[in-house]
Amino acid sequence: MSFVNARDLPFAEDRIAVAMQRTQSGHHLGLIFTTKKEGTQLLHLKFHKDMSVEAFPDPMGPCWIAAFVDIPPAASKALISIVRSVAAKKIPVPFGLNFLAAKGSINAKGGYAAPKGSDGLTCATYVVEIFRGASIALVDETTWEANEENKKWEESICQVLARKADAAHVAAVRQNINGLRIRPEEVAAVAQKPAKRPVPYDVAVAGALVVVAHLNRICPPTLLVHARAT
Amino acid sequence: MPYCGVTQFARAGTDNSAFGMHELFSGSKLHSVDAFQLVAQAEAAQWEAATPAIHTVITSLSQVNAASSQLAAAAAAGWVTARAVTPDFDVFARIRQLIKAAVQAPVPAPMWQGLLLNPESPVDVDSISATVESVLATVEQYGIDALELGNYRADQVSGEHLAAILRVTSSARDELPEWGIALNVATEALLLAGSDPDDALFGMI
Repeated sequence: MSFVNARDLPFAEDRIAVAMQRTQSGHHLGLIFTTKKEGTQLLHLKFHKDMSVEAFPDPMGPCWIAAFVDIPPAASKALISIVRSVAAKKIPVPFGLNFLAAKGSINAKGGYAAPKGSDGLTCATYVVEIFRGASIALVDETTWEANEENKKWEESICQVLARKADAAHVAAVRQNINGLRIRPEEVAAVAQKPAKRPVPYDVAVAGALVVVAHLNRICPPTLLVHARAT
Repeated sequence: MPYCGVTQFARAGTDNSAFGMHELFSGSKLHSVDAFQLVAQAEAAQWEAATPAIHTVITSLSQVNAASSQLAAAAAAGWVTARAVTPDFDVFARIRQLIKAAVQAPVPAPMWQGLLLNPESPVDVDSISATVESVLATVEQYGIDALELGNYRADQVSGEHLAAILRVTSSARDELPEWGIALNVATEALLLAGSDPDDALFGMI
């Protein structure tokens, strides 16, 4: 099943979905899961030490696209269980760029613990690490390629980070500006698309273009909220 | 006259079927103390059990009972060593009673073991979540070593629950020498149940 407007996805307790929205600085990624008690919820790393679990969808909130994660049913139930535990712990995660050093950030206690040399996670690498903690390798980081566009994004996001984090952390993150970035749309593509994982860079980039096309179609840039017209 | 006693109790196996007790009184050449320390810690002895150290300082006899729950928690996972240094023999005797009661109390098996050891356990997402949550609680409280994954037979376990346990502990597989053995057991258990191992064990095989 491809990406649809998130409000139209038939959420269920035994299904997990990846969701993406447009932001001022690009795109933002989260995971959608459902429990009997709390209903459907969105787990996402909003920014520096701002991990959020909230009811989803928000009728007055921004437009999201979503698609179910393509993994077998029994594995999906176990992954959902792990996501539920991660969500329940609500451990604040620092924002950081070095995704290579961040491998293994979600540990066997279901929580976050920065490996040596890691400066934190982004919304996209947070999802990557949750999946890795559940033994599902989404991407092959060793194939990733740097580019100038990513570097510009990294520099601009560090300016935003400077307003939220202490100087030492911002300095550490700035050290990792190198143009290497796993984008939200790349993770959305590899989570949803039934490709052989871990997915190399070129396949993820190609899939990302399709995901962004879905976003532009379903949530056009002029449509900032998906409140129904009456 | 002060007393010093070292009392050790060991719990062997999960059915609490055996324990040993050694008492050593080291005589009376001790300084007087107003307070005594109740120290419960696990020792990595031949039972290869390990628990976090629990250290409780008790300054009055009325606090002795309050320490019993901590002691029971420590005892649940293996060895318990308790040491009391006190000039008051009555207090020491009470400590000894406390330790004995704690290690003899039945210890409920963690939820994940109950779900794992029943091949007919429900495998809906909430049941799998219960296993995952229970495993994470065990690891958080007692450490990753508290999971003994090498003693299961394929015909005695739920393959899907074992698969979930393996998935949630996969990041620590290097610390669990029997993780690989359990993976083989899970594969076999899933096949016995008529399930496809590539489903529940996706990404791990």
